[in-house]
Amino acid sequence: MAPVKHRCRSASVNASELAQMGVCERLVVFEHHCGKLRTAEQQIAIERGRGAHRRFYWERNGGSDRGKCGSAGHFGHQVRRIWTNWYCLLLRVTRWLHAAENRNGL
Amino acid sequence: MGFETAALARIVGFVAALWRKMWSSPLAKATESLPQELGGARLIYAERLFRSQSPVVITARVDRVYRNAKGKLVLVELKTREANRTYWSDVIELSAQRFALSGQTGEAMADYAYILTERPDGCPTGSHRVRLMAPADLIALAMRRQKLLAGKHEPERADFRGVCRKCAFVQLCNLP
Repeated sequence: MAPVKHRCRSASVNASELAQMGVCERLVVFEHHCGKLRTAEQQIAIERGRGAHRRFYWERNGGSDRGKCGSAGHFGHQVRRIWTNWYCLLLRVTRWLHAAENRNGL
Repeated sequence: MGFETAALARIVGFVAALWRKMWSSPLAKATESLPQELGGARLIYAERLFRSQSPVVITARVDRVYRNAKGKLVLVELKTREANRTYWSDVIELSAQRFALSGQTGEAMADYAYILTERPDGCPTGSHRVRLMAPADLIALAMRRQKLLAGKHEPERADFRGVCRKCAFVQLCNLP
């Protein structure tokens, strides 16, 4: 756990910093004086949240990104998605059949 | 024979569900996690930074903003968490977003917003409508924060001790 950044501006505040007031005022003051400290667990959660937001942004128009060229990137994304879904389906069916065989003592 | 038929039916059902999920229209996919009110609403902003100038300078990055049937802008925020619930900090954050967005654009904003929650594994758990703070209350909160940072007020401790268990400052804080 390492300090992330120490900000010395109090005139301007961003929404996330202000939201910390709803968590704990002592935390707000500590972060102002000592910088942001994150436990490993919190750091993982932050990275996970960033990934979720990237996906949320990608899905804003149903996965079609107007800013980028639609064809190549979108096609690749579709292929990967279809392959992943079918692979998951095969795995689940295989596991389920194995379980069914074991249940029936075959 | 009965077992095989049941197995086949389950596989066919699963494949049909998968097929429907994969080939539904893009717009339907984008709006399936949204609340009913925003089902046909138009997306106005996504991942955009806004900044209000006065009386307090607040910057905020919004996840998504839709225009509802009454012509007002409605904020939508994604939260990744185990619990399918909202917190007071979510309300503050969205209120600050509304303040920054309306301050910069002058657009009419709804006095509520939606929080979409999903589990860390990406499974959506629900959408929550929250009533936002009045601008005067938000400004008062921002002013209090400035006074706390300047040492003019004594900061209060968290209401919920679960916060302290996960806090990196718990030893410095030295609470009883």
